[in-house]
Amino acid sequence: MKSRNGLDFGTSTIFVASPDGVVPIGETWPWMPSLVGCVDDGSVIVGEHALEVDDSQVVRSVKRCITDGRAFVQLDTPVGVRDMRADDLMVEMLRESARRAAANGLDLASGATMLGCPAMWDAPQRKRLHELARRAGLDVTLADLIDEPVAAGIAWLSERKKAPSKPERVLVFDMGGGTLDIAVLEVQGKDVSVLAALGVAEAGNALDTAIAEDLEYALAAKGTDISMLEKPKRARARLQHAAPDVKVSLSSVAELDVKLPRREFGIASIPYGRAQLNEVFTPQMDRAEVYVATALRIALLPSATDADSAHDIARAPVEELTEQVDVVVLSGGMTQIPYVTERLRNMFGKGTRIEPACAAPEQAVATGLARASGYGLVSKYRPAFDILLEWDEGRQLRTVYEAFTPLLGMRQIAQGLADLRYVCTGRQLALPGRGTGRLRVVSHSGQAVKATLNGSNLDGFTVALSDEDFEFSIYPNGRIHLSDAKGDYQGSLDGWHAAPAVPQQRAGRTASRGPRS
Amino acid sequence: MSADALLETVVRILRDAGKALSPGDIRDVWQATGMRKAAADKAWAEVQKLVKAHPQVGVEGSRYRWLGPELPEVSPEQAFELLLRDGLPGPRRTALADVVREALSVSNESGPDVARRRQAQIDAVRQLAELASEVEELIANETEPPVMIRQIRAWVKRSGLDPVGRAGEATKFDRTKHRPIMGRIRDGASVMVVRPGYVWNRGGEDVLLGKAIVEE
Repeated sequence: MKSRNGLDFGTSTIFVASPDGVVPIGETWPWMPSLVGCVDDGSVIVGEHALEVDDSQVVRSVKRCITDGRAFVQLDTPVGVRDMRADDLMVEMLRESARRAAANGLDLASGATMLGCPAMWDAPQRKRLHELARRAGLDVTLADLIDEPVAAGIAWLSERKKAPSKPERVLVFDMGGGTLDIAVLEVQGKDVSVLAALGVAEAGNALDTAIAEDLEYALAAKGTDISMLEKPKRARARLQHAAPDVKVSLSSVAELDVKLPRREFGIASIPYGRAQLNEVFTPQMDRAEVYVATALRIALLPSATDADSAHDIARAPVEELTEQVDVVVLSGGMTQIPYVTERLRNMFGKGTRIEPACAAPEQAVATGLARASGYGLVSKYRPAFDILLEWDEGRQLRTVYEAFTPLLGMRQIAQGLADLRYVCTGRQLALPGRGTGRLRVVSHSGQAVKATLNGSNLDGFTVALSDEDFEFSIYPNGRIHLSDAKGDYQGSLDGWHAAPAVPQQRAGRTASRGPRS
Repeated sequence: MSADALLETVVRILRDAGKALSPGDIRDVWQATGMRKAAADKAWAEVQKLVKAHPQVGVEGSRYRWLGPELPEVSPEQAFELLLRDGLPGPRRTALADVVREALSVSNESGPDVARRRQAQIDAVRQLAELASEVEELIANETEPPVMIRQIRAWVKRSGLDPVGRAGEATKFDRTKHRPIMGRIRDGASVMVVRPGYVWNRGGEDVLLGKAIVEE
């Protein structure tokens, strides 16, 4: 059987891992920096080498082009400003990662590779990364893309010595340099149901800027006004340079002296304590708590029975949500700041354990990806299948539900709406006023989707077309509902509560067709 | 290059070829490895008689072929021991050297474990380099000594190290943590710490890297 490996294409760093752990691909670090640049002759360089060219010829965090939906990045080259295709640059980075991994004995091209992606990415964003990985020569299917916090959760599961016999609810809090990702998992043995996975572009690195600003205030309080110094810009750059070190050092000591050049500031250091760090970190952690509560609300919806209970869940006190969590798993470099644990400890009850995903939290995602094939994964929040509607002998096709689209938006939960469901109407699809169509279900997980409507197979179900009457809904508890020109039909996603194994056979897209009985 | 060394290269070329080679073929191989044409012609003139007389080389018209014998199975360690002895014939030396070379190339094979070992070594040395940078920067910043020592202590704490005693600190002698600068000191005697020791917390296990050095 082919081996599976993991590739964590991060905003700041790229890690690769085999099931045995991370395989170093950096020149001196385990990771390769997510940098790409353009040298004077127009050729592309990636990783550490990109640091050798002028800053205007380098793109940092090119992955954000997927998040932001940008196709091009601008680079200053000797022949002028050039618009370069972000996709081409990302392919180069993935290709170089694979090349370095192969040089260190891990051939990503010869086995399947699991890729991480931010939980906030929608279907087109995931498909874009999938396509880039294929172009880079990696053996990847869409089903091999796993939400980063889910991968971190698997890293934690794989390190666990003994699994309890009863199901556990696990919240993964993955705070990195680029995004905050949260996943809620239901774990029983090696079966993992993803009840919620969401992310926000809540850059952890923003804390560095906040610390630098706070240091400037602290200096002012001591009588040093940066704007009055000879070179204020350079002085502020010094504070920005000191900030990451402050963040890391205060993880192990309660107070430190921030180094400053006396010739520039008039003093050689300024004391800075954990309490000050906590204060500047507070607004970010306040927002993080809101996202945690939202994720926990979404996680309750698959077990909701009707709209009323969904309504109740949307308004449930946070304490009721947190007490159902057995373990909070920490992942990402930012979670090494003690204040993160402190806040989560206060938010969750005494019965909830708080544990790191693994010894090196920044390696959790890559490690979890490489070990994911040992676990059965099913996403109840972003199902891995398309539902299509075709008519006119297949010449006309509309997408009723696109794989990996969240069934609910964060805003729907935050607003406490009673009618929580994914819905698609005939008007949205621009359906004709009459005629007959047929639903098709296309799985991206390699497993056939078992779903019924009015007792018949959803795949192949005949639909009386109507732009006015057509409405298709998927509820978080797996219930489905269809209205068309002829009537209303109820159904469900069978096996919604089962946890099929990650496919061992790499079937790619599996379309199952069946006649309507 | 000496005649012996030249002979050794010819023998290796013939062994690797696995077929009869002309003098021109041999000179081509030399040139492919960087020897100039004139030097190759001169080298062949020097070594030709030795090649013809070599017991494991057969002459087929104007061509030469490696005839063996096959080296009996020896381990890389045995081959290395044999190589250290004088008086072995050239081909034998070449064959033994190949056994050792092959073993070395196997142990140098790149693989995830090798890369991980390299990374662990880099990480360890990086700690030292960063500490050195820290000290340089503190001195250049004209940092006061008390602040400097606090910085260093914070730095080592971050690396998972806890000090055993503080330099200049008065304490009671404890043989499990202290080492006398000279002679013997009884447990419980008043001592002063000359140089602190360090304990490294490695995944829950405390590793005493060095005891504090004390004097009475």
